[in-house]
Amino acid sequence: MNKKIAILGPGGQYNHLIFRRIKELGYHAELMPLVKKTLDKIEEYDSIIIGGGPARLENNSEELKVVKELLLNEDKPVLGICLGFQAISLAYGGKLTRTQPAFGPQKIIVKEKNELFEGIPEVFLVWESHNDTVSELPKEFKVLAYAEKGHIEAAKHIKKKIYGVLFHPEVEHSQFGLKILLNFITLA
Amino acid sequence: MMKIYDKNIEEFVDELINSLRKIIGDKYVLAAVSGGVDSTVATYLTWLAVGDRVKAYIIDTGFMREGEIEKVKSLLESMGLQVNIYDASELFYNSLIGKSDAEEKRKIFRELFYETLAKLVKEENADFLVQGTIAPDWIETTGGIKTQHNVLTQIGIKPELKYGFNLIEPLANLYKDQVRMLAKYLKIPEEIRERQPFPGPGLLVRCVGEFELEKLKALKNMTVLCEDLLMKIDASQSFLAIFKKPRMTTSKEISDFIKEVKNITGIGGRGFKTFEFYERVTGIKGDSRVYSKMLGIYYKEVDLLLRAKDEIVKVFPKILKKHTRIAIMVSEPRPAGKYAIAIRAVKTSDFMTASVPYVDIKLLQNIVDEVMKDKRITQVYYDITPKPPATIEYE
Repeated sequence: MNKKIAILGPGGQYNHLIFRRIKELGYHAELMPLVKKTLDKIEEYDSIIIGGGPARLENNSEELKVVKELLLNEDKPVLGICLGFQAISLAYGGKLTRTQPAFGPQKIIVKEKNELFEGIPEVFLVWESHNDTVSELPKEFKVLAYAEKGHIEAAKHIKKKIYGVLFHPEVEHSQFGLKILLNFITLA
Repeated sequence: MMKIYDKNIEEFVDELINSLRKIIGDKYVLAAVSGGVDSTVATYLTWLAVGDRVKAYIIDTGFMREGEIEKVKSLLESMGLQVNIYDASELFYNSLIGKSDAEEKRKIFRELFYETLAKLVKEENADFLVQGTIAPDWIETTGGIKTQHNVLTQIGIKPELKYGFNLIEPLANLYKDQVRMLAKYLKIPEEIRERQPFPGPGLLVRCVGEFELEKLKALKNMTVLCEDLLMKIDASQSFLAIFKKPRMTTSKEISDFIKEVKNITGIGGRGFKTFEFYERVTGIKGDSRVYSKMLGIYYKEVDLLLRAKDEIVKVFPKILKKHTRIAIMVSEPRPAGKYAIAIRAVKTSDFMTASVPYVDIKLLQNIVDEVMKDKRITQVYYDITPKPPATIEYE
């Protein structure tokens, strides 16, 4: 079966690279805006990626409402990337901070064996580009990986198949990025 | 077997040629070529589709490198294409002298570029303009990072109304590495295929800040002198940019930054100096454009700084809120002279993200020696900022 992945992009440039990588992995991908109308169309997709974007998602923003509605109603696997991860955290009541901006290479350390990082070393190099970091993870989530000196790089929901990564697995400079995306797609 | 997205390359090219035939019908097409791989592949595909109904033009904007136009013309002709040169350099110079803002320079360039093409389209009785726009061009333009000279329809400009032609962009959904795969499949000469990207507005955006003819002349001269040395750097793209001579500077933020560098690398103390560039340069942080200053850092043991570059670039965005880039001074500061040169080198295949290679200090010293022969140059820097938070070019 050719799996279909919906990429909900709040305007970020790298969302186009997520699209490219998924096509290259041989799956069907569709890039869609992160708006309420999109939720009516995602029925036919097997899993959902919430991508990056330039804005900070404020607590009462339209986009965050869409993310909340999506997470509440869907049992499909969801992966938040960068802003997408921040949005998932906010949607569940987590907190963000602006004190740890990071751009470019980052060494990350996987804290717990898990399906998203299956077949990947415990320490590897990724690329990130964010002003905000998740300072307080929602209680329904647990940390999967940290940056070498600090912030949370990846997390998952304890019960549901909801994941978030702060780095960009889709860019060529992130190691094992394709493998991470493939691991996620396999969950559906 | 080579694939573009989920298609075999053979099938991809056949479909592309068929759709070009369908769009163009029995009409004529003007092709804007620069000698880069994107415009060459776009033009060549159109030529395969409709033959000599494609008229290829190189617009001489005055911002190409020395001798480049002649070289490109003969390379393209070796592939069977007929190529005309149109000299518009006076027009470009006159409209751009004295302009400083990066976006203003790029927008003036784009207008002149299309006005010139519109004139040629009319003269050639063509209906279409084919150009080599690729995905990062419109992704960065629509994302508000920088105005690429070849992006119109994606930002709502209707070329048929404004300029009198319809636009064809056969490669608009591809990235550089995919275009290179196409070039390989189409047997386009390696010299074009593996050519380093060169920005549409050319050396204009490497004369950072206010555009002056003297700056351009100095940069053209140095680009020739250093060409072979720059090619020795293990990079996907390596070039020089020219700035006004920066001034020594300090501030609370900068001294915090220096302390932190000392903390994590052990480098610092007396002899560690910082220089602020006058011009603002483009960067990209968390998907948003930033347009702010570059900080130059100097320490007598240059190689120590170079080896610590990854630690330094990781820490600076947390402390320096007003700076987008860090560059290491690789020359001794010379009191006389009015300009500084930055050496920029990056490794990437799709140009969406880029890392900065470590360069052997001897090679950097050789470049410095060449550049400093020009008495107008006072300092030479090596830019150590990856993309993000910098972009590859400065403007």
